[in-house]
Amino acid sequence: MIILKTNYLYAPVLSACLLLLQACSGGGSSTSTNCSLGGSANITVSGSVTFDRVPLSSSGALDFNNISQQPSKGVVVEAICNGVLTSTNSDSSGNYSLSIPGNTTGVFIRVKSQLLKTGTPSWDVSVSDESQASKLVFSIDGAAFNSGASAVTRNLNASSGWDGVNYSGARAAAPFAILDTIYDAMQLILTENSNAQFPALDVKWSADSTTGTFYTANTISVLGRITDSDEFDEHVIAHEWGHYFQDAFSRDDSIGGPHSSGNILDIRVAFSEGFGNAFSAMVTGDSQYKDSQGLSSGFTIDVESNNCGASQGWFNECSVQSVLYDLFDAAPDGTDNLELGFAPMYTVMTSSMPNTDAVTSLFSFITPYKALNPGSAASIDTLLLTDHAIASITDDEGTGRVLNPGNTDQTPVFETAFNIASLCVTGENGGYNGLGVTRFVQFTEPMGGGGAATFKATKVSTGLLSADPDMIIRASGQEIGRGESVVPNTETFAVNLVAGTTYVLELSEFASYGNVNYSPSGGASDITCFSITRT
Amino acid sequence: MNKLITLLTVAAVASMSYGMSSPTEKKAQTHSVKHEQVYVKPHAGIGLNYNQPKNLQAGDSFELVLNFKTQVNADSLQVNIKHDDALQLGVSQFDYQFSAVKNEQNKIVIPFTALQDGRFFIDVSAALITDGKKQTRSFSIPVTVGDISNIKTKAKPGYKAMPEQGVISMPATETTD
Repeated sequence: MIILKTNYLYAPVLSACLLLLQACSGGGSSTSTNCSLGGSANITVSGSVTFDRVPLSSSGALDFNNISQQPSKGVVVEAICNGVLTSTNSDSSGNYSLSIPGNTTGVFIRVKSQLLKTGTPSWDVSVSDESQASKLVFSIDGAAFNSGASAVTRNLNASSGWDGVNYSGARAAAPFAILDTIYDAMQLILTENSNAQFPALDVKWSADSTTGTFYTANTISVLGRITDSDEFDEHVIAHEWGHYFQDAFSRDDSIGGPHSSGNILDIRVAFSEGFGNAFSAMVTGDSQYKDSQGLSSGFTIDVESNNCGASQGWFNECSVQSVLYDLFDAAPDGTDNLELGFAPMYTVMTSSMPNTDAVTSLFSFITPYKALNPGSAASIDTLLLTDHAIASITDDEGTGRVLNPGNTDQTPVFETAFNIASLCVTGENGGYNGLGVTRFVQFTEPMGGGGAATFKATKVSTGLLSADPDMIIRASGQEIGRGESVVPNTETFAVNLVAGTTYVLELSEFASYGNVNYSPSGGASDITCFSITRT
Repeated sequence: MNKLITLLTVAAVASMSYGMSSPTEKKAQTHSVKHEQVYVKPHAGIGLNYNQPKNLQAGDSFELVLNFKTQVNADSLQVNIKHDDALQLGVSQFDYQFSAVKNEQNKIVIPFTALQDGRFFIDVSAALITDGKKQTRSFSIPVTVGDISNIKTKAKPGYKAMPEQGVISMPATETTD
């Protein structure tokens, strides 16, 4: 076996190294301006593509003592000769095969951090450098060689860059580790929809990235700075890809924002994040969510656990993740004897939830899920009630929810008629995405109705001295109109409504409760109430 | 005279208002960010607010105030501070321990002096300890000093930007057999 390490030589030096098939320092094979196509019959260049996988310990810390080489599945592999000569994808075992003219000199193999498939199914996922102004996809490049007259083997590995003490080399494995997790996530979807057309997905990463790990608008950003690098955190990558799945194949009304297991959240956020956590366990086959923090610490979530503490409920991502995972997995625990797999979950999320007249939440998931699995409905009710104190869910709107008898600032989940004398919003569960920061009013425009309508919210209680109410109206999750002026204590806006359509009006307070840093006082200022009239 | 005073006052107010966003514009900017729907990963039950250093020049001093909020009950909160050498911290203590009661806030004040131009970080690792088990959340606080217009263009060793080929090329370990 001959081992070559490619760095960045300039072409004249490379030629000497090439002829000797020796390790070269400071490479130039990636330019390959000196490649000369041979005139002989084609030969086969084949091999395997691998990357260094750094596993995580049970505490979530990176385990550099157990680095292993894993196949890089489905990645783009190119033969480069003054440009792309030919290309293919590695297979599910990381193997590839290319046919190139014999006796071609100066050709090299490039593996791009890209999953690309056209036809049916299809996908295009690339990992590019977050620090660059233009989109530059990461690649690992082999050394230039002469294809000769017979088959050639070239195996390429993307190294972690770890030298035993720290990262000192290029972290070549990072983008391929990210793609490996995404490849597995797509396979789970393909088990239910073998013809899936995945929208193009950009992943942004760099070794110094501190932008954050998040999903937005067909882009996943992944932290790279070693304070909290995420490229090897399979659950983290799968969690974010779960948001992409909801966006691309289902519907997600979540407003996002920071979240953790102990939070009492907006129901849209609780479901979206709980699904992401549960989905990560489904993709990885590991119910222990792990997120490395630095080089020796971590953060973990037991997705299987039913113990969500005092915050448990329909507004808590811990409860949502636990319920969803219990519906999926085969391991009985507590009252969970359900083993329904991914299929009904996929069906509900792609066929039912996108059409809900309410909002995406545990309610609009469980309701059609029980309808799809009537024989398991009673068991589902028992699971929800016994493990998470969630009373039977009977509709998308969560009718019947009561929090703290007499507490009107978080329930009912949906008000249902105008005019409303008093609808209260609250920051007591935290700003921006706490439960009660946004309240919902659902109404159906009667047949024969429709046309212009004006909605007005007016402060009617103490609470905030100067409040900034905002309203948005949506139909099936799509925005129809909004009122977001800076006029204190009142908001008015007009919109055109369509007869027979069901709408959801969202009321929130922007300046205080809408601030992610809002800190509840525990007093009267945490709750402010508004009348809402419609004319 | 009165007209002159009025004119000067109007001119002064106009010059102060020039370039400042109106409340409506500020709200529109904030809303545009919120409505992008950004979905972040979950984190341990620790929140952090701090005063972001801005407009620092080499030689400037700044007092960074870290406000931690514990979101769940735990046995203790441990905090570790690391920093780039270009930031001279005015503390001798880099490890802290607090009680961890839900909704409790704890503060650490870190005075520092920026020694040179560049983009640097103060790294904070905060861990909740319960029954000996740690749940950690890490933060990287960026500190920009002086003119950093050249910082982004510096090539990192081992990475070769090739925009004409659309790639960042990294070294491969290659075997033949």
